[in-house]
Amino acid sequence: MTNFFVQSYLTYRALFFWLNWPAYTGNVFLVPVLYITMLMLTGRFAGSPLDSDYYTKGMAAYSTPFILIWGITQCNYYERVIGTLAHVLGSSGNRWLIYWSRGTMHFPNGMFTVTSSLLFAWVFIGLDFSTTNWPTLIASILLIGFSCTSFALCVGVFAIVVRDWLVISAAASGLLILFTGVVVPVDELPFHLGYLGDVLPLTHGVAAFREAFLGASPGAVGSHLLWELAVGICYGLLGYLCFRLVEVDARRRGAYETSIL
Amino acid sequence: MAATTSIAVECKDLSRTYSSRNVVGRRRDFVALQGLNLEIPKGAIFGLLGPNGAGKTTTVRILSTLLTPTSGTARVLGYDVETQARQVRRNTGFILGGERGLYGRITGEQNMRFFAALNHINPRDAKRRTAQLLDRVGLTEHARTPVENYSRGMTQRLHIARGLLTDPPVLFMDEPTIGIDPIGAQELRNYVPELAGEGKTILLTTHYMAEADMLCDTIAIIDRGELAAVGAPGEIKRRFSKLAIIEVIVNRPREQLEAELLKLDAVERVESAAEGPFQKLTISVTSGFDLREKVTEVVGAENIEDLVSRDPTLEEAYINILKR
Repeated sequence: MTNFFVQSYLTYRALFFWLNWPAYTGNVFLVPVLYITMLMLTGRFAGSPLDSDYYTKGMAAYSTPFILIWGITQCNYYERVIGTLAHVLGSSGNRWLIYWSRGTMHFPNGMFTVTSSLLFAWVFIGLDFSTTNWPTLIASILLIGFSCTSFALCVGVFAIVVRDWLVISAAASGLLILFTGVVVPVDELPFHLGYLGDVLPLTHGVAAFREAFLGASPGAVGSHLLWELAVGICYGLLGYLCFRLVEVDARRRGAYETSIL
Repeated sequence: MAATTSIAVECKDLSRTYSSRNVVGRRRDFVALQGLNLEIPKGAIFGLLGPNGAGKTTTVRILSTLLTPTSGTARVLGYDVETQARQVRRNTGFILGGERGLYGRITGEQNMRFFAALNHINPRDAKRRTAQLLDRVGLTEHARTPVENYSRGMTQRLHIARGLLTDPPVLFMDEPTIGIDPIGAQELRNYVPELAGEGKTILLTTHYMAEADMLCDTIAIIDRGELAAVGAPGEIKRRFSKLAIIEVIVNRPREQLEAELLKLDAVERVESAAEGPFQKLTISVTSGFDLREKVTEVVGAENIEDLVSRDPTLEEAYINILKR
């Protein structure tokens, strides 16, 4: 296990290009706060305090996948661009551990950002925690972190393939903001698009997260929490499968350091 | 199962074709290797030479399991690179030239610790081995400097240290001295015989003929994916060079000497240059003729300060092979 954490820590230090004070504070703390403020003000301007509260909670929860997706995809992208991918995949290293080590150190970022977003919402927007069931809130945050780490690792594989992390990150986070009930309730999405939310991370996690503010116990939102866990496991396995397929395809096409597609 | 022969690396009819498609989906094939056959004995320093695009790097990439062959087989210590890739990786190290392939934002020591962890070396051994190897390549002082601040030579030395982390019996070195200043390149070259002395088998690709001549026991020249020549450097030089060289130092320079020597049969070219108070004549003679006596007659034995005949250079042989 020590080697797994050594890998996790050093790849994070080496490949996470937001690991400097301006970029880190900007992306982990400032950007989510600006999103929350923007949507909260939009809700108030539209004359609906209820909507404003809905947006605030949704965006606080969304801050986790935001930092996870943008962080993990950029690490995968740089791994290929700086030419270390060939050395990593040319090693006898355990592929399962290599794959997961790319996400481990980003998980705490997801926790920092949701915590700071909630803190901001409490202090400056007056988010009400009086009826909050804390175990449910913490469980939902942890599960959102897990499922979104899995999801980010999965989409991160495609950043290796297409050699672009911006497009991949924007598309993945766009999917989550649109179809997971962060801003628009899932059951109000047109053309049965709400069903798409069921196969995306965050949807059930954010539902449990909202319920936690209303005092729901973990047992009461158990199905949401289990669903979020299941989605996370599925993306974890799917991403790993994609990672192995990319490796096989790269060996076949000779594309570790050139274009794969 | 690994064979227990004396052969470390073996390629049989090894071929590799790269395919790509243009914007309208039309397929284009590029043949990088076609039917390459090689055998590298254990403990040898084997040089792979050839022009750009000849297939050298493709061969190294196949042998280090980064690429699968289109057809044919390649084995390292008896392990098939396709079906036994994990065993091949455990027994090989690869050192690539150039500045890519290391993490610039972390230190040299951290790079080593990362690759040690990746290769299942336990943390205590990793620490010891990292210190040993950084010391060996002269980077102890810079162990805690981010690699992005390293010079090209330092980066290359770190590549070597990384390649040796697992103490592999077989090393693939792909143009390890490319782009390095002469002193740095010389330092890197010194590692090669040292490593061979430890029993390692080394496959070295290079564009520098003098480097291959100096370091390698055996050389293979490949061109357009095919083996063009293989043998010891001296053997290749004798077999493929059309010219032998006689160098004469004359203590009483004479302008006419050049023209007189050109009249001799088998003399192809004479170059004359001043060397202090002496005249240096470089006489290119058709291979297979020994003209030392005739040259002595023309120049006059009493006028000769020194006369040596030498083998043609590997570069001459190389050019002749590729021009065939």
